[in-house]
Amino acid sequence: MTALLAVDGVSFEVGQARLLDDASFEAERGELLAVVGPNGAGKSTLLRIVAGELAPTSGSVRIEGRPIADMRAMEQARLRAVLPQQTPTTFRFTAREVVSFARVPWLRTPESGDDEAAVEEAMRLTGVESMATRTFPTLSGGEQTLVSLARVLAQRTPLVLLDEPTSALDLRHQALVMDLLHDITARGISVVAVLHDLNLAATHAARVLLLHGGRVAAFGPAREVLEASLLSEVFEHPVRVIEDPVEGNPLVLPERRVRTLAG
Amino acid sequence: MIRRQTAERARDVRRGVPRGAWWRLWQRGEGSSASSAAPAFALLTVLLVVAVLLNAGIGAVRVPPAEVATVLLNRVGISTGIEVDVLREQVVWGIRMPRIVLAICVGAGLGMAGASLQAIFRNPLAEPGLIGVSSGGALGAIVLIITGVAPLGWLSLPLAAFAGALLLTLVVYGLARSDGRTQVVTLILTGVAMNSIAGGLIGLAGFLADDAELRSIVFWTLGSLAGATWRVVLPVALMTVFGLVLLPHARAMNLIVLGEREAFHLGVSTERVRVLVIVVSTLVVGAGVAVAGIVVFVGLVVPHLLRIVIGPDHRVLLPASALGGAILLLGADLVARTIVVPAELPLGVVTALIGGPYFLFLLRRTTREQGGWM
Amino acid sequence: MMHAARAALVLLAVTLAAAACTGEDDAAPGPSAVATAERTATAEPTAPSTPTPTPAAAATDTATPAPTPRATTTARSTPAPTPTEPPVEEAPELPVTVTDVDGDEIVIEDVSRLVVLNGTITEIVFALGLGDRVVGVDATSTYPPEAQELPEVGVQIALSAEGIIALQPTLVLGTTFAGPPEVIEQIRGTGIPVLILPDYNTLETIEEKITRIASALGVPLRGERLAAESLAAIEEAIAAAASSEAEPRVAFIYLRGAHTQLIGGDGAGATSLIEAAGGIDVGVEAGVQGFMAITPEALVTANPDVILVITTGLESVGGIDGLLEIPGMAQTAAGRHRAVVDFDAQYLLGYGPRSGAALAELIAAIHAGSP
Repeated sequence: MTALLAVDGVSFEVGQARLLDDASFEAERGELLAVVGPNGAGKSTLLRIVAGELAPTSGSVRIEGRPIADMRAMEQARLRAVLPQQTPTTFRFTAREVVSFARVPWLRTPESGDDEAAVEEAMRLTGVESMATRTFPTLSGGEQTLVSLARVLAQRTPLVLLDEPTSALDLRHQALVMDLLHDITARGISVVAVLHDLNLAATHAARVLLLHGGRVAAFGPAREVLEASLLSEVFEHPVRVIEDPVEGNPLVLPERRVRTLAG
Repeated sequence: MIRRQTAERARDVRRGVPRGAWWRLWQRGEGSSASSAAPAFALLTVLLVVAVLLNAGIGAVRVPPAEVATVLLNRVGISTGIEVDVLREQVVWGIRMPRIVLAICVGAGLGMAGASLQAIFRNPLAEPGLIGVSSGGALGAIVLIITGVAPLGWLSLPLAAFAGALLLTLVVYGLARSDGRTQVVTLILTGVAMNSIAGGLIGLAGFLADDAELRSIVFWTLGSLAGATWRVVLPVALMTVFGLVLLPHARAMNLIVLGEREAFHLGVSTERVRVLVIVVSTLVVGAGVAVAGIVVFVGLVVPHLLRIVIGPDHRVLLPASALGGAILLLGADLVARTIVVPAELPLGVVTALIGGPYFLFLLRRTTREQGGWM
Repeated sequence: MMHAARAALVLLAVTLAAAACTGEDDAAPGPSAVATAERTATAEPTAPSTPTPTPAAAATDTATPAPTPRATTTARSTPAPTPTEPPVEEAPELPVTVTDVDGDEIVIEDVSRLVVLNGTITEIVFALGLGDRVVGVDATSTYPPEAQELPEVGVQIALSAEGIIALQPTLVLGTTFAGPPEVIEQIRGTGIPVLILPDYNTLETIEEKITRIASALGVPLRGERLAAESLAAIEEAIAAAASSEAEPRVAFIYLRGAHTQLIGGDGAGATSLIEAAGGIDVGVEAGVQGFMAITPEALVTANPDVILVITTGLESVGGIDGLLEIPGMAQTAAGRHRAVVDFDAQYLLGYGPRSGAALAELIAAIHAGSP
C-alpha cells in the first residue's frame, strides 16, 4: 500500500536562494508527523509546496499516489486541508460561516449531504460552538486558530496540513489541540504539522522530520530524531535531552549558556 | 440523524447576530446565510418597486397615478379603459421609463461590480473607478469630443467611452500581471498610476478643447441620466443582464475574502475568478459610463452599506448590492430631476450629498458598536 | 489625483461656459443700451423705418437671407427713416415652415407658449413684441428684466426634458448649445416642435438671426423692421468710430477667480465687436483660438491698450485693483492707465438687438484715452 503522502526529492529555489534542497519523506495513513527545525530551515516552504501553493523547482508531491501537479485546485481541496499560521480576513463573517466554507469543495458531490453534520462536529471537537455567532475579526488570536482548525476538520480530507497550530494557544488549548489531532489520526487521517515546540513534537508525533538549511537532517521516530548532539548542531545551541519520567518520551531542554560559561 | 438536524435548526434559531438595528427587528431565525437574507431581499425589493413607482409617477409634468398605471399596463397589453393624452403617455413611456431602466441598470451594475471588486482585491477601497473603468471611459469619450469625429453616428460617443473603459482596464491589468499572477497591491498601485495619467490626459484635452467642446466634456464628466432614450438604454440593459454571470461566483468570492491562500486550499482558482470579475465589471460598468457619464460613489459605498446590514456573504451581498445600487440611483435621480424643477441637478452631486453623510453616520456607528468595519 | 484633475477641469469648463453664455448678475447696461432697448421693446406702433419687405419671403426658408448691406462695411447705406408707417403683422401669421440647423423642416402652428433656451433669442422674442408668450427661459436669458421672472429651465447644456415639457410649450427655441441631444430628441418625441438655430456670434449674422426667429414666430415683417433697426444702430456706432484715427489694442480677458485667467481670440466672441469698434483684438493677432491661459510674458508682449472683461469676472478677482495684481497685467499699457472696460456678458456678447448700443459704448470706452 502506497503512503498517503509521498514527497520525493523536492527542491525550491527563489533567485539564487535554495530554500529547499532535495527533501523527501512520506506520511502514512493515520500518522501524526511533526516537521521541526530552526527558523529559516524551510518548514513553511515545505508545507506550502505540499499544499500545492508553490510549485517545486524539482521533485514531486503525491497524494494517494497521484502527483498534485496534475490536479486541479478543487481536486486537491478534497484530498488535503490546510491551516495557515493566520487567516487575515477583516470581513465580518461569523465563526460558523468560516467553518462552513470548508464544505465548498464538496458542493454538488454526494458528500454535500454531510455538510451540516461536518460543520457541527468540527465545531464541537474544537470547542468553538459558543463562538458560532461571533464575527471572526472580533475573536482573539487563539480563538481564531481554533475556528480555523474547525474549518480544516470540517473539510473532511484524508490529509491535514497544519502550520504551527499551537503557537497562539495557551497551555490548556495546546493540549486540547494535540489531543484532538490524536483523535483524528485514530480515524485514519494523516496530519503533517509544522511545530515550533520540540517537546510537543516529542510528546505527540509518531515521526519527526527535522529540517536544517532546506535539507532533511533526520526523519524517523521522535526518539531517534530528537537526539542531543544532532539538535545542538542544527539549532546551534547546546541542548539536553532527558526522558519524561511519566510518559517515557524524550524532553528537549536548552542549556543555559550563562551556567555553562560559569561552569 | 434526524434528531441532530433538528437540534441544528434549534441552535440556528437561537443565533442572533447584532449587525444593525433594523436587521435585529427582521431577524427571526438564521438557517444558511442565504435563506436568512430573505427579509432583507423582501425589503430591498419593496424599496425598488416603490422607487420605480415614484420615479414613474413624479416629475415636472403632473400625471395622475391612474394614468401612469394605464400607460404601463397598456404596454403589457392590459386595457384600463382610461384615456391618456399623447403628451403624458410620451412623458411616462418615452422619458421616465427609459430613465428608470437606465438608473436600475447603471446602479445595479455599479453595485454588483463594486461588491465583486472589493472581494477579489480583499480591499474595502476597491471600486470600478480604481481599475480604470471610469477614467478610461472619460478619456474615450473626451478624445471623441475633441477630435470631433463621429464615424458611427450617435453610437460613436458611447462606444468610444466603452472602448476607453475596456482599454484602460486591460492596460492596468496587463501591467500589474507578472508570471501569470497579479499582486493586489501592484494592481491597485498600477490603477492609481494609470488613473493619474488618464487624469492628466483629460486635463490636456480640456486645455486643447474649445468652448463648446468643454461644455460637452463637463456635461459628460458630471454624470447624468438625462440622455436616457430606449435605443441607448437597451444595450446597457443587455450588458447588465450579462453581469449576472458574477452571481455564481459568490462562494468563490467569500473564500477569496477569507484569504487568498485559504481560497486556494478550498479549491478556488483565485486568478481565474479575478480575471472574470475584472472583465465582467468593466463591461457592465463601462456600458453604464458610456451612457450616463461618470457616476461616482455608488460602486464604492453601496456594498459597504449592505455589508453592514446583511453581512459579508457574497451569495447575499451581490444581488443585494445590485438592488441597492438600483434603489440608490433611482432615489438620487428622483431628487436630481424634481428638486429644482423645471431644471435638474447633476446626478453625481445628489449621490454624493445624500449618500456621503449617511455613509459616514453608518461608518461611525459600526466602528463604535462592533469595533470593526467589514 | 484623478479626481483633482477632473475637478479642475470641471471648474474651468463651468466657468468658461458661464463666461460665454451666462450673465446672471446683470451689470447695469450703459445709458445708450437702455435707450436702445426701450426703443426696440416699444417698437411696434412707432418704429421708424424698414425697406418694404417682400411678402413672399415671409413663410419660406430663411436660411438664405436676402443680401443686405453688411453691418461692418462703412455706413454708406444707412437706411433713412421713411415717413410712411410700414405694415407689420397684427398677430403671428401661422402656420409657417422653417428649416433648422440640421436642415430639417419644422412646421410651427402655435406660438402661444414659448420656451427659449438662449439669452439672445429671448431678447429678440421680447423685442418682436412676443415676450408675453414666453413661459420659460434658460439661465442665460437675463434681459429684458421680465425674462428673469420666468421659470428657469436650467443651463442650456444640461437641460431636463420633462422640466421643459411641464411648461407645456407650443414651441421650443434654442441654439446648437442646447442639449444633451437626447433631451432635444425626447422633447420632439412628445410632438412639441423644437427649433435649433446656429450659434450666431458676430455682428454680421445678427440680421439673419433676427429674421429667422421672426419668420419662425410668424412675424417676418416685425423681424425685418427689428433687423433694420438693429443694423442701423450698429452702423451709427461704426460711423462714430470711423472718426477716430487710433486703433487701440484690445485684449478680451476671461476671468473667474484668482486662478482662471484666459485670453480670448478667434471664436471667443468679442472679436467682431472689437474690430467693428476700430480696435485690434490682440488675442486674434497672437493666433489664439477660443480661449487660452495667459502667460505673463505673452501678455506683456501683446501689450494691450485696453483690457475688455465681463463684469462678473472682474468682480471675481476683486475689481480693477485685483486684475492689476495678475502677473504681467500691470506692465501693459492698459495696466499702466487702468484702462479696463467691463460689460455684462449677455449685453456684450449676445449679438442681438442691443448690439448697436453695446458697440457704441465699447467704442466710447476704448477710444476714451485716444486722441
